[in-house]
Amino acid sequence: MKMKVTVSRGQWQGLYQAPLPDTPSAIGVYGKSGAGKTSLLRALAGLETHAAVTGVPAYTRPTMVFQEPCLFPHLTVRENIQLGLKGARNGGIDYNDLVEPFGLRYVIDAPLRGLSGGERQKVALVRALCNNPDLLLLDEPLSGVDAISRLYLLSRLCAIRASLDTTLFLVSHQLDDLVYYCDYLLHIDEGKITVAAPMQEALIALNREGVAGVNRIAHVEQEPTLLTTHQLSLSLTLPLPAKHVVTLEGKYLTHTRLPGGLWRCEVEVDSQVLFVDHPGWLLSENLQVGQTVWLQYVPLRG
Amino acid sequence: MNADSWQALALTLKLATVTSIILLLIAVPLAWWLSRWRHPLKALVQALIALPLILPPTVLGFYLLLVFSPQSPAGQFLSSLFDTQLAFSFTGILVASIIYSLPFAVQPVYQAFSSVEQTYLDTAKTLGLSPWQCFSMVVAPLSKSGFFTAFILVFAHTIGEFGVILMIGGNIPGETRVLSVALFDQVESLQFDQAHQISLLLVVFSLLVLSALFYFNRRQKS
Repeated sequence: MKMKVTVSRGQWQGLYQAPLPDTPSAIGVYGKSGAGKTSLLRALAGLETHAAVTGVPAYTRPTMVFQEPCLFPHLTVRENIQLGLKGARNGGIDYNDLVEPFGLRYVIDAPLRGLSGGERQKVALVRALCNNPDLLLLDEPLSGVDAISRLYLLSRLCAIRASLDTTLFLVSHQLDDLVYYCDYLLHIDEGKITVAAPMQEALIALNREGVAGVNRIAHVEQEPTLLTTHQLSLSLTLPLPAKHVVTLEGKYLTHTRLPGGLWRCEVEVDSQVLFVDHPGWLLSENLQVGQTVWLQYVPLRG
Repeated sequence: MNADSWQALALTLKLATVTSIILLLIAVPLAWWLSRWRHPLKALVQALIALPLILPPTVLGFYLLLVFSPQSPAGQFLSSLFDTQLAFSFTGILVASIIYSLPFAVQPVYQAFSSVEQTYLDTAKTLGLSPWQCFSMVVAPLSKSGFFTAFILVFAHTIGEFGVILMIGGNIPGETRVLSVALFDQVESLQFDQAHQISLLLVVFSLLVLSALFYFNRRQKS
């Protein structure tokens, strides 16, 4: 299946041509700011006036979540979500099943006024999922959410997407997120798709081209392997449905003791702090603040 | 107030109410179309709608009188359409009021529609809402202050209309003799007591309406 999307906006022209997976997949969209990622998503959503889309299946229900949550200010959280059911495919999805996993139980009947930015984004995501879309377009919907919440929400989102057989286009500046949750990657530069391939191949291609952000990912493997360098690697054991082993480079920050005897190691990766909880074996290492360490995401089995 | 003044008050309220309702029905689709329309001629259409704001009411009254005249083809057509002669009738002053107050209805609704962010419309569209659902569930609730302002402004403006009504309707009791015309008539015939009562009523009414409008708009903003 070969997608061809043309977008024209004044002097700016976008021509997006790429093969796409034949089955509903999670497709990551990566590229620098202003490359034309949002234009592609808007064209697929039918929001661009001067755009032509060919070669993709005739999606009956494309739904888009924008960088800003765009909640309707005259409605409560529940009413906003219920609006997602009005134009839903096949009657939509019961939002009560989504409210709990997305942490909205205590704000469901609240007005929007008191909601934090993260909560607003969660409402926008639940509203989009209730719509039961066959094409879900997410334009950096979690850019304002902290790292751990973002990983958690993305994992929930991707699990639900898989169960609904929905094709997902996820735009993110966090390549890690795309590597972690998507099967396929599109790299966009100046309104054109320069790389379109399954994740593994795409990362290798991007690494070869020296695309910013990719060289930071030291390893992308199908099977876990031990790092052969003398430097330390930490295994992240977050309950996330990883698809690939990904190793990220970061700076060691500190250790704190958690209730129950575990220790939490904090590592800064791309200005974000990630946590690794472990029984304490790392403390025997002579870790210095600022020392380079690697975090290794390992797919959970079973 | 005497019976004549009460009759004029009832007629004025009837005219203002009917004008406000009809104009809201006209202004909402017109303002929506204008807020979405991108064309070089848009400025001309907006100027035409706003014309009664600066045009002397007598100019409008004069042209409408010519149009409503049974001798003109337009007058004959309108007479057959409304099944009555428009000049010097309630229907005539109603049509004149609608034209005269059109900008007071269109402008607030247009401003309200224009301030609805495009992203809300995009979101509604991507959620699969039909154009009518998008309008009734998103645009209209977000623009309700514009509707309210339009209704109040048209109502108050119609209560105070004089020149255009006098030219189109004359001074027929129970048919075209509204408060402002009755006041003019009473001053002409030196009935100052009656004139004072009507004037005071109009001053108090105008003050109350404008206070309510400002209070409502302030609450909406906060």
